[in-house]
Amino acid sequence: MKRWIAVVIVLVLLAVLATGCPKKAAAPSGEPVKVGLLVCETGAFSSYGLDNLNGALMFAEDCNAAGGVGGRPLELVVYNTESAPARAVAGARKLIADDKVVALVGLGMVSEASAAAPLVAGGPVTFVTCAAYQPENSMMFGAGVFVPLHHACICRWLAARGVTQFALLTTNDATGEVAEAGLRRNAGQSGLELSIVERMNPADVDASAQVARIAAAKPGALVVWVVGKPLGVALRAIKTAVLDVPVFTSHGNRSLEFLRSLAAIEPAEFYMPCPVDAVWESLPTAHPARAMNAGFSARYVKKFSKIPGAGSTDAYDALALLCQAFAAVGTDSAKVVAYLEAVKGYQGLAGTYDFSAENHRGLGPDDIMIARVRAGVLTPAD
Amino acid sequence: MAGLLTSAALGGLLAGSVFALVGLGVLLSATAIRTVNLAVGEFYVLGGLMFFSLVAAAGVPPLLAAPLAVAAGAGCGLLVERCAIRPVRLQPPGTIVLVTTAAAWMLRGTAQLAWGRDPVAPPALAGGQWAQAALVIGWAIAATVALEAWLSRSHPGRALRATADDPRAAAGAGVDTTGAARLAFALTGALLASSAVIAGPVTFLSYDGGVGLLLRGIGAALIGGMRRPLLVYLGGVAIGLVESMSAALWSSLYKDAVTFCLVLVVLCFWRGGDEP
Amino acid sequence: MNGRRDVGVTAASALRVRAWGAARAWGAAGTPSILLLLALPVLPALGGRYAQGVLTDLGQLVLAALGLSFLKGRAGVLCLGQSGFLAVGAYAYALCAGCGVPPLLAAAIAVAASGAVALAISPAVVKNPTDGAALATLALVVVVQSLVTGLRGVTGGASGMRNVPPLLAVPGAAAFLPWAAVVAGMLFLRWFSATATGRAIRAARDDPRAAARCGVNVRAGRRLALVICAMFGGLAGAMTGASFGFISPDMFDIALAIALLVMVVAGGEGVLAGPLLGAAFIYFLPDIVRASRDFQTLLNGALLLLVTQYCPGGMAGVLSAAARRVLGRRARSAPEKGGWSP
Repeated sequence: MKRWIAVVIVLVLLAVLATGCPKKAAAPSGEPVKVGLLVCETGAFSSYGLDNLNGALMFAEDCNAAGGVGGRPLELVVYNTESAPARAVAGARKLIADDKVVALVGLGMVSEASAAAPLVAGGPVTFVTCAAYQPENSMMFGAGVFVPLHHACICRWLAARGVTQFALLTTNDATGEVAEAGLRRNAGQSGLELSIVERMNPADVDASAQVARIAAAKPGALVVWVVGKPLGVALRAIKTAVLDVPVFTSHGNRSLEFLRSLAAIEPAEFYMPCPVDAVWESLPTAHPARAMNAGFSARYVKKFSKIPGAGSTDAYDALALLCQAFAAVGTDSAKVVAYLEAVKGYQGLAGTYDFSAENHRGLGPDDIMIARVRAGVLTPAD
Repeated sequence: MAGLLTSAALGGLLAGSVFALVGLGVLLSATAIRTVNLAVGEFYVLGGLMFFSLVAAAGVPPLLAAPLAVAAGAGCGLLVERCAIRPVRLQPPGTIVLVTTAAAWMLRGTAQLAWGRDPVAPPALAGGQWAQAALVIGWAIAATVALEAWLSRSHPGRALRATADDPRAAAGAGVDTTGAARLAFALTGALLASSAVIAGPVTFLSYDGGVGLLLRGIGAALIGGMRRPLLVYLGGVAIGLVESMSAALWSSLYKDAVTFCLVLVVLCFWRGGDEP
Repeated sequence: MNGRRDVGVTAASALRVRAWGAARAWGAAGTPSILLLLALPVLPALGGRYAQGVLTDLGQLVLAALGLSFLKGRAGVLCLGQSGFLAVGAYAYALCAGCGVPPLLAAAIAVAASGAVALAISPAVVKNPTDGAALATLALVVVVQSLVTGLRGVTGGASGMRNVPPLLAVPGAAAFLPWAAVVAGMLFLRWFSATATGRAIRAARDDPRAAARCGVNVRAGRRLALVICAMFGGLAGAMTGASFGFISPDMFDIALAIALLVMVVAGGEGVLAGPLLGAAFIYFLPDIVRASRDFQTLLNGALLLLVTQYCPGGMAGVLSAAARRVLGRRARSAPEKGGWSP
């Protein structure tokens, strides 16, 4: 009997705790504008998902402090996709049908966005924060620079330095597939050759075989398109194999603490393509993005006690664009889409956005640059 | 080609040593629960993260922090045994596997709260890549030899073995089966924490890193029949070598398929089992 | 070391007999299948898009868990690879339906494909139903994921396959079909458990040596149970692909396999209501525990621990004990007639 009581008490407690969500932003008056947030709070992509969430929360705070969306408070309804496409779809359904959100922001994985695409084809407007995903219907927009543009940037940089062939080490998931496709295409366009592609599991603890095969092909550079622990494993293998070529990695590795801790095994030339918000400290004072990022970074550090990560500026910009559209034309999806497609020259944290009917991802090749990584410090490499 | 094979073999041996260590942890806890313990990955990660914090945040010298981390790992094992395992020790194996899953989730959640989501590079005990690799490989061999000797020769070791084989008979013979279970889990925690201290700079650590090691660690333990540390070690090293060599000689895209197909084939022919 | 349970008068078996005796009162009556059968026609009309989606997802999970519950609870085989069979079914369905095969036929092919894969790995599984089966089924999940990722040209690789056709292009069918399959599956399993083969499989679980001496082919029984479980999984996988319209290898990973096992054991092994309760528990767990995102994993684990420790015989066992108390019935000790219970 006592056990039953204990179980019941715990369940009641949890139910009470559960009513403490979703997150509500402080309100100006009126009917709130509800935007749904689909983020990976747990699971393999959780660090990116948490960046998304924090950036969104920052925007909600800023927005409501400045009077809300056309006088109405902005309310974020958060759903955890657990880095699983099935939960992302369930969450999207719930947000659309139950919470009746007027827009969706998030979906940080390619498979999540692909799975949810049929669901949102009829609305509402969805801003996908996954930079490797190409929006596939008129309701979907993309935040962040499209990952193949990162690859184009790398290829142009390599071609300019006279490299003729390079190698790729990546993970055997969707990110890796996008990386391989993007690099092959851009290599061809820049007159380079992607001579060898090797893969590893995200959970692997050793990449010696792959790096040895790459070293045998004598590439002029190596792109290690992995995020997180695999980067450490790969760099260790590169150091052991004494492979002395320029190494590029994904901008998803912007966790500066981790990069700093890899300083001992860092290659001599270590680069990363990234948008302006990663290197804003090195921008000229007159650059419009510098002041924006300085303010954002300061507020972010104060609120979350950490430096803004790769996903936070994407989510912030996405919400800023959406709210600007809501304030201008209201929350009807078709009107919002038309408004966004007409946006040109919008200065966001991550770059300058130019949308069109064919281009639902406002950032372009000019918004990405190569940064040099030295012991966790990013500086523009040109 | 020779260079490729040597690199791959060494890398495979290194990875295999880590799998073997995790497998030894599975074997040790199996003496208490007689089934797979799905929380061993989390023991490894927590031990390593605690070592990292002691050195990086608290400034303790590594040589002092290591035994502290190992002790903390043992404490973790004891905690899991007391709170999660003991209440259900007499239940069928399925329930026990479930309990270890729950314990794993709780440990992972704790790691996430305390250390965040970003990966961590713990400090190395030895300088240079080769020294570190030698340390890991050597530690795996040492642990295997020590466990082999201890389980078959020492009194508590034999008590553990007896409890693993037949708890009722062991209890009837006067073995303290509860104490043996406590010892088994404390040892599991200590072994995995020490492995994380030594292999952490090689594998890197993150709050969700336990899952990745779990699969191959369990593979090593099950290939080794969950009985003899030597067989578990060989199983772990075999998995590491097959993965590495298939990536070197054929394709890194299919290395997992090759490794685990071989595991299936071995299981089809080798494990006669004692079932009819 | 084998995982064979000790038969005899120990605290463990006494506990088990009590728990399962109570569960028998619930399961033997076939109440879940009857209730579901009655509810079936209403399902497609129930609630809006969200509710329909929940019903679809839950139905598919219950279907997969049902097969696993039979394999684990009835045949005593520890299977950590049900998600592998789901993957085989999903990709077989997607590939066939994508080539123009009528969806229902493609689903049948998917079921057959999963069964064939189960047969292929059965030599590794049937020899040792605990450790060996665990490793073999884990290996299956990895091999399937690796092959699907590698054969990019055919399966779309890690980025997945889109435009998977639905089974029946009728509104409400997506929610109806898995539950129809669940009801059919429950009825089939109840009938099968009462046949001589079904009883033989159960006898083999309890004491393989004694069963073998009585002329039972223990390994063939386990093989059959494995194939049945795989077919349930294959059908669930095909339905998953059909309802999402999209599949990718990361949808069928080890985490799902472990989650399905958790559903089965937490819900109550070998009892018809078990997979239902277990699947509902695991599916809604994140929603129950939405307190703070940072604490979610920790609370998930804590809740699961509580359920495991305080619900011997799973949640179904607890429910039937409660039902027994409320209705004043005593556990029947007569041999069960149809019904699925020890």
